[in-house]
Amino acid sequence: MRESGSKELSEQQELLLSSYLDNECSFISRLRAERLIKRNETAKLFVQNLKNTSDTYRSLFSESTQSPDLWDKISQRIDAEARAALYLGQRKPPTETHEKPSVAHFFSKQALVGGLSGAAVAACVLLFISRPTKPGEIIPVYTGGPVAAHNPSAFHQASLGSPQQAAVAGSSMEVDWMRSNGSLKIIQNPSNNSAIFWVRKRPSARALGSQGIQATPTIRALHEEGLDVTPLGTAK
Amino acid sequence: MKCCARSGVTSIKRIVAFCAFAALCFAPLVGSADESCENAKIKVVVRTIQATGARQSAATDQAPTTSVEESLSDLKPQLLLLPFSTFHLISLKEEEISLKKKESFRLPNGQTLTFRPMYMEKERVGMWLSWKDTDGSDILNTRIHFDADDSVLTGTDYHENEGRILAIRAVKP
Repeated sequence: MRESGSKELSEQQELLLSSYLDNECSFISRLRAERLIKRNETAKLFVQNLKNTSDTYRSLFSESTQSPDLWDKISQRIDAEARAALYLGQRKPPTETHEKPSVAHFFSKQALVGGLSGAAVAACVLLFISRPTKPGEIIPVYTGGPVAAHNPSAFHQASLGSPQQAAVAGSSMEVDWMRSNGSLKIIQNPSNNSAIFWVRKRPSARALGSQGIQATPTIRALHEEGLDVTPLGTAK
Repeated sequence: MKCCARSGVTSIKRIVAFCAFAALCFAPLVGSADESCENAKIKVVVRTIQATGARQSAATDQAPTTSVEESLSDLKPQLLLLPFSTFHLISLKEEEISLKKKESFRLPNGQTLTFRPMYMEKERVGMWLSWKDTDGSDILNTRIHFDADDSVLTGTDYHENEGRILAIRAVKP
């Protein structure tokens, strides 16, 4: 295993570092990871990236659940509904069946922009939690920084690796990170918790590999029809 | 005085040598403690599915034109979401894999699928998996957590109007 002076991290080193961050390492592995971080700049950046992404994810998540303005908005909405009811009559609840908890998923974040040994690399994180995604909603999956854009082998990860964290009640499938050499389409089955990962291979992946991709990948959530991914090159 | 200093240095050297020796002796034991839970095995079942007859969009729930083989009936709800008209099982592989050990499968079309199961507890499985093309490029490289007995489906375009789908399932042996 290369530990010092290497520009790119090997797959084993990446796995070692990610398990180190997740506290899944044995004593020896921990020592190896610490030594690698100390000696290898790329490893340091890689770990920093993982931490940043994890922090970003956590802050986003906590903001979304603890927003101080949330109740104000709800209150305003209730008032608006009450006023509308005066003119338009009472709104009737939809007759359709309730959303099943199994469909209530939330896809979140992260991808890498870059190439892997001559291939364009994209990474994303998929999380299923109890928030229904609106049909057609586009969720950005990358919060990349300059390191990710210039380091072809680096990818971001939300630290969800430990089994205790992973086993969230009610969720079915969780992805810590994912990368492929083409555009990734996540097709969610509305009737149960499963999803299909469809990779549309890039025909000239090798040619693109050295340049990397400079655009932000996005996932388009389309229930019933599944999720669609805007190709990396065309994302806004 | 010199003699005392020399004997002090010698004893420090001995202590350092002893520590190094002890570390060498105990290093495998530390590893084995970690590995004690790695002896557990899980059975991984991989089905390779050929999808033909590419369409513009996925079929509706009861599309009569979609043909799914009997052996794939458990995957039918998921397969119907894909824009293909025929699904045919090409191969089925079952293998018992030790936790935290890497294992590779060679798929019928020359692609490789590599696993490293990380844990299996309370019917939940964590697994790193890497699906590589014949030229060695990553088709998919991911770390995923899913319910045991559930199938994870992943697929890619293959030639024209075709797709290759992998249905991966992990069960307790």
